[in-house]
Amino acid sequence: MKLAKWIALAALAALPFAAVPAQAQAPVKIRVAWVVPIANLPSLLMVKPELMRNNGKSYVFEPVRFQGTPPMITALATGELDIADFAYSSLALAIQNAGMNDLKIIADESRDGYADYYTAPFFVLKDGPIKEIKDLKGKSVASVGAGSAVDIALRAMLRKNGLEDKRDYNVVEAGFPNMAAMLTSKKVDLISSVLPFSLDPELQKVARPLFTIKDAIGPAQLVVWAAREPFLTKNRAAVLDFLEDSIRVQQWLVDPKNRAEVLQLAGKVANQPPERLSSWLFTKADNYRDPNLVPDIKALQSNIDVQSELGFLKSKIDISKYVDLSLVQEAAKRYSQSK
Amino acid sequence: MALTQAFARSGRRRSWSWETLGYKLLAWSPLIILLVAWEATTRAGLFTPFMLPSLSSVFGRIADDYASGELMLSIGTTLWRALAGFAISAVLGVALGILISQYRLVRWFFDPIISVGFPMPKIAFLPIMILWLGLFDVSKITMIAFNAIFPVVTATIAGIEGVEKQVIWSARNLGAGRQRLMWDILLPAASPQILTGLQVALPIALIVGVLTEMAMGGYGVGAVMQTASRMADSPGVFAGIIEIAIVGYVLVRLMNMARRWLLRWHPESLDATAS
Repeated sequence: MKLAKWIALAALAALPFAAVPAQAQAPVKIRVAWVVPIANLPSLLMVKPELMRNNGKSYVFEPVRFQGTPPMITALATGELDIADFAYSSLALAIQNAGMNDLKIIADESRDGYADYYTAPFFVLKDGPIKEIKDLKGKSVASVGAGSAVDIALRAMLRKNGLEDKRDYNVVEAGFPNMAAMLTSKKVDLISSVLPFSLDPELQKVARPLFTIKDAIGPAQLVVWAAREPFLTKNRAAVLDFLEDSIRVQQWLVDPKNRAEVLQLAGKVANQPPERLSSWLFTKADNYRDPNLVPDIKALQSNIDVQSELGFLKSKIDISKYVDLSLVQEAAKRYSQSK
Repeated sequence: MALTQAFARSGRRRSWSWETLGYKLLAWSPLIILLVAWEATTRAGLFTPFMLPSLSSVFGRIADDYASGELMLSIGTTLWRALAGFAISAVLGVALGILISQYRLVRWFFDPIISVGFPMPKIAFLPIMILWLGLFDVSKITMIAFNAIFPVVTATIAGIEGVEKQVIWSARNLGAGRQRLMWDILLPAASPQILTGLQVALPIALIVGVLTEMAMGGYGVGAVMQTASRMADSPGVFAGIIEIAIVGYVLVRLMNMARRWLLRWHPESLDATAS
């Protein structure tokens, strides 16, 4: 009797420990960054929740909105973010300046100037004094921020034409939504623009593209997903499930069969009527998004080389050391088998 | 006898100097301890260089910026904006303070505006200033003047209204007109408080100058710090912090010196000299 009592007590005491394996299998929280609605895939991942089949099971998807990609570096460093939605420029800065040697590029998000897809234009006034790039000498240009992906293309193009910041032109910083007003009010002579701002009908009426990102730096692997290796190693299965679900959403979004529904749902995310998106979203007038989320590492290396040549990096980076496509490749394989 | 006195005086001066040096070191020791702890913790690897770069690397960065001319350009730009804004706020603030304290109609008009405007975060006007005045120096200097003017106005009003009535009555009895009363009695008597207002306004001018540069770019220490932050360039950000701290300290010290010189006739300076 006494023994039975002891056994019962021991079993009771062991109960909390028995619960540990169950807790270990609790879904992994995956905090994923995004900046621009629709343009960034994480903003669209939950438009059709049933496509995120493993969400709530092996992982819990938590989108985190940022004001730009540079703050994601700090968030990754302080452990407040798991997957960054890095522009190529911020990726290189995270590796070199923030010393994140354990950073791994795991997936594609969007590319500029890929094949005959969209490339972001730099606008000048149609009836303004700027007829060619050299006319920008002594003028003001608007950039979204020194060292950003679009800014690097701008500086690269101006340098190709013998113009240097401070010496030959003045850079004014502004957000993309304010750029058109700055150009039309003649506060600056050239503006940077990205989707959907570059399609503003009022801007199109008075402005013309002087050059594009593709003219400046060639095809650009504009945005990639990146995570730190310890997180990937610890949560490989959950990340794999997350990537498989992300590929499912991506392919559903680009499938012409779903076009009407996609426009409706994306319109809700962007708070815009669907007809305003129909002319470009997920067409060739949009940035290229790889259906299997596989990034173009060659283009990425070339973009980062330009960043280095412009003096934004202390030295060149061999980006191949920071790539782990095994997850996304396996996720794509699993997705195609599950179809 | 004279030689003995001189010797004794020089000895006293020397011991006084050592004492002063000791006090100064004691006064600065918390800062020195902080800087040593900063360097020690970073060298010990307690923080990544991204989260907290070593003090030596930050000073190295300042030296590089100095050598390249960037340091003087950015500090010069920030100083020019801050001092221009401060000068505008000083002139307009003192003038407005005088008018408010002297004319009921002006007081009636400005009193509620100052009551509401003084405590509000005036940096919220930045988007409006950009819209109206553009992105360059004009909007930044206007923002600085707009923020720095309030302490000057209120200090001027308080200073003028705090002048003893007996002094004003005596001057009037002696035949002083409104203008003479202002220049010979009220302004000199109010000057310690006006200068206090200016001493409050000066750091505000510097702070707002750096903030507007951070928000709008266009060079200057704030813009350089913001760019460094975007580029995950932590030594650049910390270099900016140290630069602006030194500039702020030097400006405050210069302002204190100016106060002592301008008030050399005033009992507060005479008391300080005597003590």
